[in-house]
Amino acid sequence: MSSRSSIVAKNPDFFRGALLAIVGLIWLWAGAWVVAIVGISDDFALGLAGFISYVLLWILPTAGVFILAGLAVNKGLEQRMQQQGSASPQP
Amino acid sequence: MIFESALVSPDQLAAQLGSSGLAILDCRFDLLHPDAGQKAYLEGHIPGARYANLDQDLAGPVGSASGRHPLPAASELQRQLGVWGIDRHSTVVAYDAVGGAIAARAWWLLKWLGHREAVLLDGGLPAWRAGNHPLETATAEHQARHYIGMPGQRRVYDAAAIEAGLRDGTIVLLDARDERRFRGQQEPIDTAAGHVPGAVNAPFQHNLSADGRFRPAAALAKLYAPMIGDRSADAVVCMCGSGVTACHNIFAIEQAGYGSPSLYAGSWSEWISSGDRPIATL
Repeated sequence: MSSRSSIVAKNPDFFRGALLAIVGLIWLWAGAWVVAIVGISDDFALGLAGFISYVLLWILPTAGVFILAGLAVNKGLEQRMQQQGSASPQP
Repeated sequence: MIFESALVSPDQLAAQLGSSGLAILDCRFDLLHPDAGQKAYLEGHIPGARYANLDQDLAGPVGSASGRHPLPAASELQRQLGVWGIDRHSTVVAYDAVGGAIAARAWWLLKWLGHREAVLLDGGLPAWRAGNHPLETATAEHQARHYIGMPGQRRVYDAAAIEAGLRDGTIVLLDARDERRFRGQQEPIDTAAGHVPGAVNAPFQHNLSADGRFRPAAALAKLYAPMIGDRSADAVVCMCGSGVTACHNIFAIEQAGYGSPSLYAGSWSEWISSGDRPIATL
């Protein structure tokens, strides 16, 4: 609903969440480059191990951290809406 | 009379629960989620409260040239009051969870019918909860009564009267919407943003303290003095998006001791419906 998106767009928490998402993407992109550079090898087993390590040690923890951070931001937003009494515009 | 003032505290209301002739209206409503108010009511409300739906009970049918919440037909409003077990001798307390923004419409409609004792719960449900007063989930049946009011006890303006009044300089038009909507910087509901040229912004939130209760009468008088000046209340007309929060300003102005201003019931949503009325933005 456009009214809802207007409200969210005006909310600082929305920009905080968006910034968090951008930082997260940059983090993952940088990690992929590190793995790509370090993992250049003709050895299939070594490459596979590098990929699995990347997924287990980089992507999953990183995703977890950002999901938790996103939930925290969302909770803060909900609390603020409740404190204001209503997130909806008044008639 | 049960209450001395048009504004009652949770403690005052709690002391009168169960009194004969006391009727409580739960007016919670969410514009974006029209069923949310009733859902919240069913999850817990002040004991004995009836649920009053803004769209269905406190407004009439919407037309192509009407505002979003036209006044209900007097006959239909009186019928509904009777269904709620309210007659003209009842003491009606209205509340919501947004500082009285919706409940004030119920209060105004009752005054429009000439009802004697209609009051607002100061601070609404949040204040009631903060006072650790009880809630109930049961919806009791009320013995139907016959409500006989005298519709028209409050002045109502239409768009033509607003245009004439502003042109002649005989009215001051107070707009209760928040500043961003008034200035046309944001319009979350209506199809056009801005305000009626010549209107003065008076956000209804300014009537409230930080705790959601009405500010003292002296503070309200100080707030409205620059807007109203030495005009009489007859020359003051309140509007908002659809004639709902405008009633909050009317209530506050009365509390401030200015008398009773008029309501532009159609308000902004009616003003823009024709597409050819002037719009100002800042």
